[in-house]
Amino acid sequence: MESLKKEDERLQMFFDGELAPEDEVAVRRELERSPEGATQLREWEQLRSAMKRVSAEWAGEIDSDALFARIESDIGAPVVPIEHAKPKLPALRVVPGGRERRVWGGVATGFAAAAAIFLAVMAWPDPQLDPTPVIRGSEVLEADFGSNTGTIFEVEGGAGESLAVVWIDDEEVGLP
Amino acid sequence: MNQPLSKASKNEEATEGSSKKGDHDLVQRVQAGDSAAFRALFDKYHRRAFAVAMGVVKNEDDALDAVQNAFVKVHKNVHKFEGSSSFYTWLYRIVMNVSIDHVRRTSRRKNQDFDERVLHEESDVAGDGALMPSVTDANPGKAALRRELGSAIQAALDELPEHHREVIVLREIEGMSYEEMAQTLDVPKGTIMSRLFHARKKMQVALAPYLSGEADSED
Repeated sequence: MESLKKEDERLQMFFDGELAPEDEVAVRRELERSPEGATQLREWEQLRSAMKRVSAEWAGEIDSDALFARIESDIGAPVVPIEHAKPKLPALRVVPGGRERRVWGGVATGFAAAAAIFLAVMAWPDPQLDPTPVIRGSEVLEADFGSNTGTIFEVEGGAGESLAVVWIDDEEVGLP
Repeated sequence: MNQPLSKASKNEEATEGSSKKGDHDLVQRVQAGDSAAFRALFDKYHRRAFAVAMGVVKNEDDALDAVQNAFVKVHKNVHKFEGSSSFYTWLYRIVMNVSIDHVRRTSRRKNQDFDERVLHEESDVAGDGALMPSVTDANPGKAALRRELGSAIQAALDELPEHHREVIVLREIEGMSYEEMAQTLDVPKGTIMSRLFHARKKMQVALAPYLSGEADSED
């Protein structure tokens, strides 16, 4: 640490107004017999007045409103637009053991799906073992041709089944 | 002989007390979300904060950035301010820290760039690169002399170690007491006094050609 002589310390405290009144009086008396001390005080005063004058000029150049606007924008920017721009997402939190739970949940779901498929396959009826005969073709009991005439044909399909084909004439009965 | 500044300092103390109370009220209002109170604190301190920042950083833009960052930090952390120290010392602590951080960040880059461009600029201003131009020979006007003095003060501050720069800026520009500086910089009062003495000595040497007659030109 830089040392400071007692007399320098007292003189500096006197200059900076940091001495008690009684000490101030004593130093003032000492200074009357010490031209070096008086010179030192004058040099400090010159330095102080130069720094004060220059700093006053520095501060006089500020555009206060512009500076405050910059501060406001720094303070306000992160709050307002983000709240409106982004949809609110649910808050995330760390759940102890959450990862393990998710893994076991997936495995259980897989097993359940496999079991369901297995049961569905087992329960599916085998067409070859089914004793019920297939009913093929159709029987037309009644046909309403309205004001038209028509004909019902019975035809055989590609697989040998019996199909009914209804033919409706274009001409309407009784119309000119 | 020069008038000691103790009387002035004591008058300042009297107004300082009411000012501290006013600050405390404003801080409480800011804590409650009153933006007008924040603006009032800004209006009260930003010029002085800027002058302090200018004493630490090297140019106006950097000083403005430092003041901006400092007030943003004040706003964001105002709820942490409990009033055990004065708002004034808290603010200056932030301004000082932000300014010094800025200098540290940029000095790395500027050291790398300390090339012919910088030397050239200096020699343009001050002849052969020295900071003591023969301004008296040229007999320039007062404004030019003040500009020269301003540049010389900044250059001299720039040459000081950080811990010397801090104390001389807070004392001579801001007018802080030893106790306030000790609080702001978080060092003992004795250290403040010692640093201040040595900082003054270095500044006197660096500014010697400018300071002769400075007191005469005052007022």
